[in-house]
Amino acid sequence: MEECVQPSAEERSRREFLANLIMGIGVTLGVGSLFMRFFQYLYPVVEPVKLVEVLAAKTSDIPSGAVHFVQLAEGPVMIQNVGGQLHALSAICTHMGCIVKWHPELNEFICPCHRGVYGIDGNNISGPPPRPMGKLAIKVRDGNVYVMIPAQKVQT
Amino acid sequence: MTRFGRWLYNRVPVDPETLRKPLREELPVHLKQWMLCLGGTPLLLFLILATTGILLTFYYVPDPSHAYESVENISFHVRFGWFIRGIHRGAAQLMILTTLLHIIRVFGTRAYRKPRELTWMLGVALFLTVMGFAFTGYSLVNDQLSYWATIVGTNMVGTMPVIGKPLLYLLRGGPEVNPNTMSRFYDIHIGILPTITTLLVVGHIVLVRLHGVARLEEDPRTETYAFFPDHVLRELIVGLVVVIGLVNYAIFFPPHIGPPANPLITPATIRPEWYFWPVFRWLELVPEMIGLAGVLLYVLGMFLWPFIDEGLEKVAPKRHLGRIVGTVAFLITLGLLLWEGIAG
Amino acid sequence: MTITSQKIFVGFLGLALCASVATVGYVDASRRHKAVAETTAEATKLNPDLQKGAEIYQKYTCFACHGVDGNHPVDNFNAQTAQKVPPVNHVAESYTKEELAKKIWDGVPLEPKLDPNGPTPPLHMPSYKGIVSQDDMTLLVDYLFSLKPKDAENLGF
Repeated sequence: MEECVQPSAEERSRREFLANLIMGIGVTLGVGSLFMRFFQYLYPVVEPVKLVEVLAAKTSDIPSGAVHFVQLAEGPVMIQNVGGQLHALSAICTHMGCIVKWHPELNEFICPCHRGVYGIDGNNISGPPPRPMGKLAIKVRDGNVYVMIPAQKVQT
Repeated sequence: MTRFGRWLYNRVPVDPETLRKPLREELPVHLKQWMLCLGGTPLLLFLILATTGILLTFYYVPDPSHAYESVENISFHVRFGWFIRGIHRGAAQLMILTTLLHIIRVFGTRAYRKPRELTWMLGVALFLTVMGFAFTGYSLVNDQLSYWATIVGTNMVGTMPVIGKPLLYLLRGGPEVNPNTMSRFYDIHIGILPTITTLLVVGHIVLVRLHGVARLEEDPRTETYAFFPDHVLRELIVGLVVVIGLVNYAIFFPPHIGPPANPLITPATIRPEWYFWPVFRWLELVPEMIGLAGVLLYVLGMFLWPFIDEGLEKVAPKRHLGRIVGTVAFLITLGLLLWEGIAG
Repeated sequence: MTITSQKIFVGFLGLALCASVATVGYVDASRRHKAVAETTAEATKLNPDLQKGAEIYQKYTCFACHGVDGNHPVDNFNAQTAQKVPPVNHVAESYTKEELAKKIWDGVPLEPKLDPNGPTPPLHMPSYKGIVSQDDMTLLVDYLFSLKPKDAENLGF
């Protein structure tokens, strides 16, 4: 009978280590990926926001340089004509939700509740407001100005 | 002991030796046979069923007017919903199969003999809870087959003398199937049965550990092998194979749903799932009272088997009457199952 | 098997599990029918009457057996209709509108067996008499007729 060559102690421990490594990686990947599917199953799929046109004003209402306030059923909006371009800002103060007022003599929006101040571009200049006024997309068609509002908020 | 070890020991004063001892336990070498892994598999499946079951409760609505819709939602709209439901179904079928195989194995190796009679009886009780899970779970889908299976199943309970009618009312929450029925079946399925099963499983495993593994009558070998890592690795292999099997079962046999429950229309064929076929066929063959008595005697016989077997041994020693009775009972059950399956 | 080789085997089983779970991810999109509203919107292309018919198809859960688009029916073991619930996207080629309405109202109490010695098919077409009104049936039949694929004029089989 031939004499078998026994693996050295070093080789044996290296093989042990390799076996442990393969086992560890394999089981972790297998069970881990399974639990990842469970998490994906639980996490809700959020539908992308659909925007709907809401008629806000006529272009004739807003000459160049003017800031026009509209109280839509869905919320208060400031529409401004800056050098022929129309922009819409949400008139809800980003501090505590009061409705801001446009002061043409100061060229600023000022919130009466806590004296928050925004510039004509909606940026928060001074006072408590943490963020600029929200920007809303606008569509102009046949002399009508439409503000784009998330479908869920639209009152039909 | 390490510093952390000492920190832990001060707060949880358990001698680490008591924890390490079970790991070093030596198991008789006949346990290396794969058929003896059948006990651990139901436990693993129970955990899988509990996990997938809890996941399902995130989207399932246990109310007759929404149940069907919610199952349809899970099966066709929720991300990986079909996968979770598929594993749950596959694991349920496998659970019943492996429990039966385990019972047959324990029966065949006569491991129920003194002093392990209690372990056997807890096992039979576990088998009954598994069937209870299957019955209540199936009724929650609320499609035609599921609805009518609930009606027929609870009707059968109602035919029992004396306790039949009160039990029927208790199960249904009234004389007829009504919205309360579904709530009750749901509560039984996710609350009562899991609690009972957990207690029974703990009792069963504790008893097995206390008595140690029963010796195989025909195996004279006395060698042993270590629980850790040898046996643990074998269990790991079996466990992974089961999980891989279930994942692929869900992929290749995704769950379906039949037409929604309609109390006005009975389907042409109402038939329970395969695991109830023997009982179903038996009850079709014999008059009601005899049929019911037969089923109850069968279950009672299963419960008390260790004592019956002991009696048979005393009456006719070495004649293996127990094995003959068991084989006959098995063949009759299998025969009824195949009869219903093929001709039903 | 030695302990070492068992450990390596366990490792590979783990990887096999990972591969299976990856397949689950790959297959998921095809398993989930798109939000039903999307499918019916495609099918009806903004025709309001067909939209109503699609809603009726949803309301009485016809999709549960016949599929969301009428072309993904579920299995029906030993049924003569190729062991599946028949799809309904070609009904325009096989029935008149009156015949189709009658079939839905009457139902099929016992589906014919593929193998007469085999078991009875578990699913059958329920009767919708007294459930679907005359007006709803007209809308439903129109919708089902509209499901015929545009280029499937005369398939011949």
